[in-house]
Amino acid sequence: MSLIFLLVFPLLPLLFEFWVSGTVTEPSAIVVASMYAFSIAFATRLKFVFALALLIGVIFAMAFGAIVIRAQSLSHALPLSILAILCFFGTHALERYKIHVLDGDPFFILK
Amino acid sequence: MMLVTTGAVLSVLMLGGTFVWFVQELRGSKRSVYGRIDLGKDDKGAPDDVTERATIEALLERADAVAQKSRALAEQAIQNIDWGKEEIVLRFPTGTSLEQIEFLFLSAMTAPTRLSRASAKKPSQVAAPKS
Repeated sequence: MSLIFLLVFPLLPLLFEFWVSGTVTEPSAIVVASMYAFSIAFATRLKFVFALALLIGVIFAMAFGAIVIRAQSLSHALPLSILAILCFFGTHALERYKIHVLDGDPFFILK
Repeated sequence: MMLVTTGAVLSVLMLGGTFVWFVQELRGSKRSVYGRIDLGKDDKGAPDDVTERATIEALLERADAVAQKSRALAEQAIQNIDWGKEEIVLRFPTGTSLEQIEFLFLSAMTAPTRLSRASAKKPSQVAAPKS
């Protein structure tokens, strides 16, 4: 459940764009990487992940601003953004596995 | 371009650091002293959190209280050792149960250096055995 809510839902804009248009644009990938980093930062329980994810989120936000201002694409920005997104996914997936599978903490209990 | 590259590199480093942490957790290097107590799962596969967590906490508090009481007993007994030629007499406060004394000796058997250090301090205070 936590995998779906925390790891897949934030990627929905990117996934829908790919589904509709068959491709992903650079600005979309960069802004999703930024937002994804922030969401991981606020969902994690690890201090170093929190700090790094915040920093990475700010960096990608600045990159998005740079792309919008220049109105031109940056080489390799798309694959690097996708790589960063995959790294965030892997990072938080490992943490959630430890929390919910190894330690047995429930995700949340709705009352 | 530099920004995106920096972000990508940092995210790879973050993944690496998380992987190292994960491996350490698997090896149990950061587990608590008491470890993990598996009390079974409920219908949804998650531990029954409220009841069993309270049980674990009560268990640990009781164990801690017993250990502290045993320590206090041990300190009192050490202060009141009678070193005789044929016997050594230990005195405990009135009301001390046999189980507490047994627990005390069982604990002491796992840490013989502490006992020998304590006994090494006291031989000069030998008192005649009281009959």
